[in-house]
Amino acid sequence: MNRHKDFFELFKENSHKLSERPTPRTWRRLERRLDSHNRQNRYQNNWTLGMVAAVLGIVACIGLLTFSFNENKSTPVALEDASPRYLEELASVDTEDDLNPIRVIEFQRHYQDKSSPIAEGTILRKLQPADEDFMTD
Amino acid sequence: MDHKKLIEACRRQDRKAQRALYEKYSPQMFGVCKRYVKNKEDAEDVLLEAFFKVFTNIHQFKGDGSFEGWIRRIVINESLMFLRKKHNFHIRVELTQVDAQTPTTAIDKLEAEDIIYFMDQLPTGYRTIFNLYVVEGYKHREIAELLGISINTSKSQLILAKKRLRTLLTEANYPGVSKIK
Repeated sequence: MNRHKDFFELFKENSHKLSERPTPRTWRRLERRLDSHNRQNRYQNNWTLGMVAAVLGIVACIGLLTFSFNENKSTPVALEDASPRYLEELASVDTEDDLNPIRVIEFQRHYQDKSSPIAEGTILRKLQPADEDFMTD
Repeated sequence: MDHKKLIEACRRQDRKAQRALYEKYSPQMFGVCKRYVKNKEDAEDVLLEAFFKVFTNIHQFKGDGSFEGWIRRIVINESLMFLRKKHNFHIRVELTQVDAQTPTTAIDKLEAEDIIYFMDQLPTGYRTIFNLYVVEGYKHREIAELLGISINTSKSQLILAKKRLRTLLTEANYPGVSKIK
């Protein structure tokens, strides 16, 4: 290394003399390049945000659909317990002019009990009234 | 503006700070580019690309070392990338073919134009290795890794570069060069 020192040092020590201001065009080109990079970055960020929002929206939609589907599945169970409803048309009794029938929604829960007054037994057994009072009446 | 604040502002993509930083370092870095790349227009292209990388990767500078050194490394890498596209560094020269007994010089000063002139006379491979070893202070192992060549190729090309420079200085009757012999 020492052998090279003088010759090498000569170039090393004088290399700073090469410093020179580049032409103003270089800065303008750099500025344009940075602007375009920033625009591209913004566009990319917006695109990424849009994609994230879209994915979240799809996930939310799927979630809502699944939730409502499950809810629909569970409602018939509740409806099974509900009494059948009938519309009964009744003639108006208050005024003779009023010809519109009165619509009454009647719940027939109590009919369910009355519909089978006799309990059904095996073939060897006699038919017996479910209600003891039925015989006495 | 304080140096740290300037870097901080550049991280926020503040255009005024970027301009200030460019004004501060571009002359020196342009000098670095000119040492590696012969053509001045090409050197400006390399400088532009290097500063673009500086501004878009400034968040990677942790502030541990010198900022100037960090920029310089980017500029050197960019210059080498430019040269790699145009030049093949895999020139194999056996060390035995190289005369290692190179006399030293007694010249004290070299003018900027002369440095450029003499450097331009060197083939790209010689010039690159001479710059990396002599001016930048890289080791032959590092140069070999950077250029993808063997350590021996790096060593031999440095010796050849020095021989060629000595001949050029002699031919140009550079003041003080007679003391070499």
